[in-house]
Amino acid sequence: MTALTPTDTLLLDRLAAIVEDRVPSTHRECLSAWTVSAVKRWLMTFDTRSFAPLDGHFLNDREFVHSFLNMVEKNFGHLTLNGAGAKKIVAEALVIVIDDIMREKWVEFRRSASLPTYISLLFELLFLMDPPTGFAAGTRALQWEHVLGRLSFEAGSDTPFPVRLYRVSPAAYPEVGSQPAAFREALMRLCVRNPEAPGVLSMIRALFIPFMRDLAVDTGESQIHPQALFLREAFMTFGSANELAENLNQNWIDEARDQAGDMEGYELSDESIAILNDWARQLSEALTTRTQADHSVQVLAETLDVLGLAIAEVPAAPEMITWLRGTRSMLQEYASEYRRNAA
Amino acid sequence: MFSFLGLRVPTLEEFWDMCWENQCLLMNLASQIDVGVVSDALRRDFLDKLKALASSPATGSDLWSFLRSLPNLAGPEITPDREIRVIRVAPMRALLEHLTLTNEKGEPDIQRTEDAKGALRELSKLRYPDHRDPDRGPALEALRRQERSVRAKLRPRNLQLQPTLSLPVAMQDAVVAPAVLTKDSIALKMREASTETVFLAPLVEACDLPARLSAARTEEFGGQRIRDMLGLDHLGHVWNASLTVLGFIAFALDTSVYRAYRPTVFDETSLGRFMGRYGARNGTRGAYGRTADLSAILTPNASLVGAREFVTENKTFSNFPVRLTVGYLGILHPDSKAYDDVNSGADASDTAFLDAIRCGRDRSEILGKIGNATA
Repeated sequence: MTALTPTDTLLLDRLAAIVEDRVPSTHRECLSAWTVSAVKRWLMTFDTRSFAPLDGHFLNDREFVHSFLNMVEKNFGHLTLNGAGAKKIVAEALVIVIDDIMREKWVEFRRSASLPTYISLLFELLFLMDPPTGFAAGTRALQWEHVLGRLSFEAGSDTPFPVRLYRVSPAAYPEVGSQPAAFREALMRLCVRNPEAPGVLSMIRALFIPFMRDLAVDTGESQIHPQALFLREAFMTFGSANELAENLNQNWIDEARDQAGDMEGYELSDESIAILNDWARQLSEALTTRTQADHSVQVLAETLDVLGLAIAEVPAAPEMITWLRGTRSMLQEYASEYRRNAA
Repeated sequence: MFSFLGLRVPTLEEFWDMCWENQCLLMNLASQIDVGVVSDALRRDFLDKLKALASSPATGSDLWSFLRSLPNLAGPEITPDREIRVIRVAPMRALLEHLTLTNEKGEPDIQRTEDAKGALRELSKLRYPDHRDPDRGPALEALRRQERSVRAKLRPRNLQLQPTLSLPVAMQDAVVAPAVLTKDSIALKMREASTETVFLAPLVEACDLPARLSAARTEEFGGQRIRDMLGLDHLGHVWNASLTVLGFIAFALDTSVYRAYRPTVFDETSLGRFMGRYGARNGTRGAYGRTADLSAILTPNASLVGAREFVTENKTFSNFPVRLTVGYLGILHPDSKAYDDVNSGADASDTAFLDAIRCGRDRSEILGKIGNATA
């Protein structure tokens, strides 16, 4: 444990004096309680003086997240309080604030139109300071549909909350792991039911390959992988499943054309076809790295069958169709092999 | 410290010694007193507020807290005879977070805006490959592709979009699109009622700035030159190692409604890269301020003078919805040096900057200029 210097003790004592609700009994409690009260003050006023006496870190023009992290690093980064690192303590304090909002303790604030913006800022801080805590809190928040229903898809012109959450989450932490996988699954579950909401289709497209890679996580159970079931549900069960598949594939093609810089009115360029092939390769690799041989592959094969049929309706994507048909065959072979082994 | 009515009072000497950011402030203050940008009343106010402190600021963040007690918008007023076309540079993410792109009819295009945000997210999460990596080609190509994607979302192939104001001819190749701001934006400091100040850069035909905004489109680090030229030292350091992607907004400021001022050292400006020196040392002063060109600090014999700048009240966007033009610049070099109050002490770049703005004066001359009642 790092010994506190007199300066550290003086600062923590100053913070303890600011906490309004109660008198903290330990330094850890002090940092946590001050963080909760300061963040809540800031959410009510949007004034960075809420972080006094450390408000000097919130320099003009600098982004809030950067200033907040500077404040934590400079003043507490070296501290371990009652067995926990300062960043962990601050991250847990942010979760307390988020939970209070979600649990209706802050009814007034929940009615605020700015809520999604500021909640996603808190999540950005969480993801940067303590990613496991961020993923766990994010997954939980996505399951609070009674709150998020208003926050996300019914908010009119604002960015849906799940999309905001996705955008502040780390790109690869870690590439495959149970916490990020659960987070991605929660995102997909909400979003495939609302594909028309702004930004959702693009997010599903961007999330699709990491999501498929998650299938490589061995659940340790000889049952159908829950995400494979989910894909079947998304693309085969819903009434608009074919439409979703078609829109998703069109989004893939549009994105490839954007990335290639294709001209309007021209067919897919060689570069955009190369981009589509690259994505196809990544998706194929994600699926072939699976360690399990269970019913999941059969379910996936069925799902991709639907997906492939949908793509076949798009004449401009021959490479994609070829790839998908290949992947479908591969999965069907896996399924046959599984059935043989099971017999 | 000396004693005043039994209390210990910080002296200018002690203030100078505490940290290099304090020295930067005092050097700029002396220069601005020289050319009359800082009035004698403002100088006295600074000294009075300093005496009221229990101790001198010891870090950049302490200094920032102290400066909040001093008046902003106290420099000479700029009185142009017509509206000024201006830009404000910010992270592209902050711009898209608060603006909505519009279609050919000027209506909000929410789906396209969200798609642009999504493409930007994928771009900022990419890593710029190490220049020593022999296999950096695919990573570089992925970056270029994703930048093209962001640009395409701003200016789709199938839309004929017009900017919301007449831009300088030299900006004809800049990637710009019309947008609308419908509500307060704290991140962009576009708020209805605030005591904060806003720094803006005028788009002057004769200045290099418009051409640079165009050139960003073809540069590997499209945001770098503009960021350096405008002295935006707070951009370029992020905690999550994401790429910093810059953009700008352009609009016309009606100076019959909004007042513009030459910036002073008290205008909530950079603690480490503000330059108050522009204007002959003992002669006339320019109407606008000049930014410090960050790329010139460590370059021998290079001029530090960047672009024109001024400061205005933060009620620029008080009548929502506001129509703006948003532009894409590009990424910053991942090793871009930025002032950061987490780092204690002055590095080589900080020291070189201090040497450049001290105007050949030593400490006693600078403190004498501030401490004595001179105009």
